[in-house]
Order: sequence, then C-alpha cells, then structure tokens
Amino acid sequence: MSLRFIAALWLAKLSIPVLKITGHNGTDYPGSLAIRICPDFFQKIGKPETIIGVTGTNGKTTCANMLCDAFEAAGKKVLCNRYGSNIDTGLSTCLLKGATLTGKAKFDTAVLEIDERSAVKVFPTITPKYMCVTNLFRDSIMRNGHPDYIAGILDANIPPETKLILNGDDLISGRIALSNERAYYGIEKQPTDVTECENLLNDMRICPICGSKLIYDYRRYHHIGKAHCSKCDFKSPEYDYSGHDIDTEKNTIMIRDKDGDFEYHISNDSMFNIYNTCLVVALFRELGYKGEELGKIMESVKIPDTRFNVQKSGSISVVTQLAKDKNALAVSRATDYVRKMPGHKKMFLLISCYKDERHWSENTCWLYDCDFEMMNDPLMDQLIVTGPRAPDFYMRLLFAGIPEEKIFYELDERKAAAEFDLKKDDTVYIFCGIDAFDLVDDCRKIILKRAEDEGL
Amino acid sequence: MKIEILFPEVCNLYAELQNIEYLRRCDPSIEIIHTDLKSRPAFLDGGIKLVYVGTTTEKGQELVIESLKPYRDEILKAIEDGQFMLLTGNASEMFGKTIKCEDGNDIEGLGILPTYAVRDMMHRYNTLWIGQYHFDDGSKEDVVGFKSQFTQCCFEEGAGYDDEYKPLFVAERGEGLHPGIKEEGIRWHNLYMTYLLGPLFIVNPLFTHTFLEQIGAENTEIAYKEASMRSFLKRCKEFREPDRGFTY
Ligand SMILES: [Zn+2]
Repeated sequence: MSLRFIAALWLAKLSIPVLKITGHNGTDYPGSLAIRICPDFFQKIGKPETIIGVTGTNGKTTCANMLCDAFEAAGKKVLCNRYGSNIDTGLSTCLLKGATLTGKAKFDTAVLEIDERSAVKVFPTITPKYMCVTNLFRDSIMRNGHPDYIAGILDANIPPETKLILNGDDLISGRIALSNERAYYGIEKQPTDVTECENLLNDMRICPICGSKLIYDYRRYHHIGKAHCSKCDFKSPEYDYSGHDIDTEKNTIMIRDKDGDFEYHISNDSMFNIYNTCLVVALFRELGYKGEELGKIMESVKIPDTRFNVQKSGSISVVTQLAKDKNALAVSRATDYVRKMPGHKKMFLLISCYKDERHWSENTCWLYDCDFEMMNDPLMDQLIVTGPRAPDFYMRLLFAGIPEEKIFYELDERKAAAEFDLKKDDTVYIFCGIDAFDLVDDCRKIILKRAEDEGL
Repeated sequence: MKIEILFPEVCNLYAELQNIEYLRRCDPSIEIIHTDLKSRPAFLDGGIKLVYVGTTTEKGQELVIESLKPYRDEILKAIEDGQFMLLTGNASEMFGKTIKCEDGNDIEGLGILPTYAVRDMMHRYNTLWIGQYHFDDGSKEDVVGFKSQFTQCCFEEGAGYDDEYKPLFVAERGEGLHPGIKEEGIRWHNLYMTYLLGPLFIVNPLFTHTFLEQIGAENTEIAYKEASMRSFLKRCKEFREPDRGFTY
C-alpha cells in the first residue's frame, strides 16, 4: 500500500461526513478527490470478489436497485452505488465507502450500475462476474451517437471472463461480446404484440449476418421482440429464462428455466419493469438461488413507479409523466402509455431540455424520432406546448397531424398552466424531464389551484 | 415527381428520413420509393427526380458501399447527367474516396466525390451551425442546423472548392466541412451534400422552398409555414447570441 493511496483513501473517506453536513451527500466528490490525489486509486482500491454490473440505455438504475433489494431480502449485505453516479468517479466513491481503512473490501459482493459509455474507463479495472444488460436504444444524439456505437464500446471492453445476462428480445444488446458466456431472459409472445413496427424508432431491421430483411414473429415495441432472417438461418436467441403468463391481477409472472417453471411477483405492470423482473430472476438463478426461494425473495422487491405520480383536486387529475429529454425512446414509451389510458386527456409538455438551454441549444433531431403521432388521438383534447422549445414542439405536433386548434402555445410555462382550457374531469399529463422539477411542481400547483378556484 | 430513398433500413439515424416526408408534406404529389440494400437503385433506370441518402451507422456505411459498388460507374454517369441527389449527415462519406479509421483499417468508398473522411470514434463532434445559402445572383438566405458526428470530411489532395465543386452553404458561426474552413457541404452538378442535421428541411423552411424550386416540384410552398418560420427565426436568433455555447 503506497502512502499516496492511503492518503487518498483517508482524505476521501473524511470528506464523506463533511459532505453530509454541508448537504452534498451522494456526489462523486470523494471518488474524484481520491483519483486526484492518487491517479490509480480506482485500480488500487479493494474490490468485492463478486461484482455484478448493470448497464443499458433504460432501466439500469431500476434494475440495480431491484438487485440490491433482492440481496437484502435474501439476507445478504452487498455494496451498491445506489446514491452515487455510474461513471468511474462514482464507482470509486462507492468502492471507497465499501473499503476498510487499509483499502480492503468490506463486502464480498457488489452491485454496480455502470454507465454504458464509461465501459472504456471502468472495465480495465473492474471485472464483473456477471454483467446484466437491460437494452440498448437510441439515446442523446450528442453523447451516445447511436445504439450500435454503444454496443461496440461494450463489445470492445467487457472482459472475456464476464458472464452476460442479456435481454433475448433485444437483438442489439443481446449480441454484444458474442464470445462471452451468456444467459438470455425474455418474454414469450403477448396478446398485445404486433409484427410490423408502430414506432418511429426501429433500429434492428436487417439481419446482422447477411443484411436481409428481418421478419418479426412478434414485436413488443421498437426493435424489442423475436425475429428471424428472411434469407439465412439467423434468428433471435432461445431464452434461458422464459417469461410467460403474466397475470396483472395477481401481479405475477411465470418464468421457465432448465429446472422448471416458477412464479414470481411483479410489482408493476409496465412491460419495461416486467423485463427488469426477468433480469433479476435470471441473475439470481445463475447465482444458484432456488426457484421457490427466489419466488419469496421477489415478493419483497418493490419497483418504485417513477413513471408517473397522480395528484387530484376536485375532478381534475394531474399526472406527472417522466419522459427524459433528448431520449426519443423514453418519450415514445410515455406517449404510448398515455394513448392507452382511458378517457379524455390533455398533455402538458415540459421537456425543453432546460439544462441545455442556459449555454447551449438543443439538437432537436430527437423530436422527429419520437412517437408524437400517437398523441394524434380523438381522446387527446389539448396539447400544451410551452417553454423555450415551444416553437419546435408546435411544429412537431403539426407534423404529427395534430389539428392546430388542439395545440395551446405559450412560451411562459406558468402562464401556460394558468391559461390553457381546463375542464371538469380533465386528466392532465405533464411530460417532464429530470432537469425541471421546480417548474413541474409550480405548473402542477397552478393547475390544481385552478381546479379549486374554478370549482372543477 | 418521384423521390427515391436509398436504404431506409440503415440510413435512418437522427430522424433523417423525415426530411423527405417533409418535402412530401409540401408537395403532396411527391411519390416516395424505398430501395433496400439488396436491390438495384431505381434511379439508375430513370424516372426518379431526387435520390436521398441519410445518416447511418459505421457498419451501415460499409453495407451501403458494398451495395452500391457494382453500380459505381452508372451512379457517376447519372450524376454527371444531372441526377438530383441529396446526401445528409455522414451519407456523403460512402461516395468519397476513403473513410480513414483509427485502427488503420481504412474503408474504401465509391470514389465518386474527391473527398475523404477521418473517423475518431472516441470524440464526438457536436456543434450548432448558422450560415447562408448563396444564390447565383449574389443574394443569400439563412440556413441553420446541427452537427453531431464522429468524422471530419476533407477534399483529397489536389481537389478543393472551385467552379465545379461549390460549397453548398457558407458558415457564419460554426465550422465548414471541417474545422478551419467556412465552406459547408458540396454542390457538384445536382448532387448536394451537407453534414447539417435538424432534420435539415424541417429546420430550414427557406432552404426547403429553394430546394423544391430547384428540383422542379409542382408545389414549392412549404408545409406548416407559419410554425416552421417561427421556429426557424427563433433558432437563427438564438444561434447568433454571442454567449451561446457553440461547439462541444
Ligand atoms: Zn440473414
């Protein structure tokens, strides 16, 4: 142990209570401080023997949290980067918190959420025993380019000895690091599946072997589903953990594997989260947990439903729908969800990339990858476009075929909330990113107050 | 009027195909034809007014080159005979001489344009862009867009902008074809290429109108004109604000 390393470790550890007192809990500061003092700190810090990595475009935080909860329910203490970030400085922070004063790992197992683009920095140092991948979709054009690029990064950096837990219904993430050992989870054909793509984003259209058209036997959304090549014998992988018979009344799913068919609890019925359940089950079964035992563990794994949160005033409901800016997939999943909700509705768009707005201007391509066409629906009564990107949203909604008279345009968000047509029994869906919570809160309050004042 | 989209199954990043959908919204008489990687491009047999290729992945670029290679000479002849062609984002790289890669495994392009591209997969180049389209009579109109790419494009040694290879746009703020120059894109015969994304037509109502006139569309009035102009003018104003970050 070098003196420099010990100094870095102790100073970084000391900074944790200081940050707590000053209200900066959960930042990457300790890790980046340690790396500044000792540049190879990340390499030198003790690491748990079993590391379980979680990555992917969507759902990696949820999955990592579910895995931690499941370990806890199984009575096992594991190290998690739940409150830190998922890049090298955040992982260093997590590892140093989980280390003794001499830098040895206190835990034998860690669950680490890893940012898919940080693979280059993370994997030379960390060799996960298992790497769980949720999916790969288009994300921010500026940072992520395209999913094939991210797949390439993972491909080139995941250590050969890591076993992969992959989504067998995703032919992009499912084909990374092909020479690594792997297990696939997936969900069998569902009554709501389609074969032709209903979404604008559809990134797996041709056979990765021969380039001919892929035919989907069933498709859940976007490129998620089971496909085969129209020319050669390429097809989606067989599932090792095959989800079927989803029961949304009982909140259960059956997952079949080589040892039998077992029932597991699902804590919410969004397909995205059912995939997350399958991932967790696949990993725990790989770790040797028995089906029946795991069934019990899964009962206490709760998925915080961050998709929406409902507040009511009189007959008015305001639903806050998380739809990450610049992520066409996230917004498209949200529009799909809202279109399937019963009753008349209104959509209040607060996804103007406020963070970018201060110094930069958002690359708006993603708006045209988003399924706003799904909001061109007789039950969608009014769409409120507001904020700095309102002119772009207005144009996008017209392009989606939405009649002009249904669009309410007002640059000022709070004014928009105060002035759009609010009628008795309205359900207002506020679409928001993660960088405008205060604004969302204000707008929601204004709408709820109107319900009260206007006697709705 | 028929517009042929080449390889929509792979050349579809960043909502690029909406460029052509927007042209059709302007001129509903436009008929769009899709040609896949396994088929012979329809324009080689005539009857297609405009051929469009949009941004694709690095793998996609190789597939496109492989698909078009057998027709390379016919494509060149069609362009020299005045075929309208629009290449946006990294689409023009397949028509250039080479795509130079970090690992030394350079990719040979179709060699139709006297250009090459240099890939740097670890550094994504992101920038806002504002500049102008110059008409033959000396007048200009504003053009805005975004660049988000892993490559930079250059002319081959001995080639450059001249009377034959004209810049499509000239930057006011932001870089041209590659950092250090102001000329953006190339117009050669009726081939138009640019790295600007947006999608280009949707964020540029003025240039869309110009382009529709140039290809001889039946209707050159732009669709959703008021909305599109409002968003365009706001963007022009924003991109001219001196303290707005531009490249990152
Ligand atoms: Zn095939």
